[in-house]
Amino acid sequence: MVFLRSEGHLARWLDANGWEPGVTISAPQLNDLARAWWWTRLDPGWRPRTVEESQAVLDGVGLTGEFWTLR
Amino acid sequence: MREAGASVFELDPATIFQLAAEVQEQPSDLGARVQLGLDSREDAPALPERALMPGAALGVAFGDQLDRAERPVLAPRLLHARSVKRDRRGAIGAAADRPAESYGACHDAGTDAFDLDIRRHVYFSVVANGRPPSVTETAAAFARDEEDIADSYLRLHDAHALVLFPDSTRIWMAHPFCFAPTPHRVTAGGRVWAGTCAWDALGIPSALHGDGFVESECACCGERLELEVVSGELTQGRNLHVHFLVPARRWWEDIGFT
Repeated sequence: MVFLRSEGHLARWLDANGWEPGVTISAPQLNDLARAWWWTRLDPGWRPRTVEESQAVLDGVGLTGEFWTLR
Repeated sequence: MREAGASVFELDPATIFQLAAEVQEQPSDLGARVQLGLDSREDAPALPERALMPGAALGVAFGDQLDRAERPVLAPRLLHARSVKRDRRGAIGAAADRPAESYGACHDAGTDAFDLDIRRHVYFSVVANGRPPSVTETAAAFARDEEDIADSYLRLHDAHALVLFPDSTRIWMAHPFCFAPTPHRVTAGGRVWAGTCAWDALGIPSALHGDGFVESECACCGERLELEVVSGELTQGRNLHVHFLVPARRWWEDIGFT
């Protein structure tokens, strides 16, 4: 996952590396995801999330669809 | 100071920082300092060289502040290295028998209590010291053989609870913290950290439950980018784009690339 200044920079970056595009989201949406995903990482009682729990985190910040399906 | 008998694991990260700054300085026996591109801000709390928190439930070590190292440098070779140690698949629940190619290979696993204790020790050592403990250090903290701890590290790696350097028991990532140079420099909780990727960079303030400042770069042109998180909100860098190349179900095929 990388930061890019603009859609133009994204297109040039993909072209330069010969990569097929994945999915682009906004930085605020990434922050929402980061906040939801990592908030409990230092909790004393942390346990690995199940796939369903992780999927719910993605869903909760609006990241739905085939690309965001964990299995 | 904390109450007698309270577990350090019941404390929030900010309190741990405060406690770490209060403990008396003791001689270091944790070995050579790491130089992984992490440094400390001028206003970072003055942690002791090495100290053991008295009575800490699992012997979490505080101290060994990383000092004035160089700013992280680009290391795409590290970032793109395959990290899975194929010949040491662990035995956490049923995970060891499943293929590594799906996201869920290890996430439904029933990680056992010992491994969770080890993992907790690793994370709180990271918060306290700015770096992960070695196998030797963790073995000393738990009064266990190094082989037991190395096996636990490997099981945690297989469970995606830690990421080890290739063919090694050294910790590469305790997500969202990374212990190799990356383009993502994160100032949060009084330290400067490396985030593995854009997601992890913004994850560090979240994990620490605090504000954060991210210095990164445009993947295309390398121009410096700045983002800031204040009270959970992104207040700087809101116009930036974030690109995910790899679909979610394939994230763990090669986590270094993802």
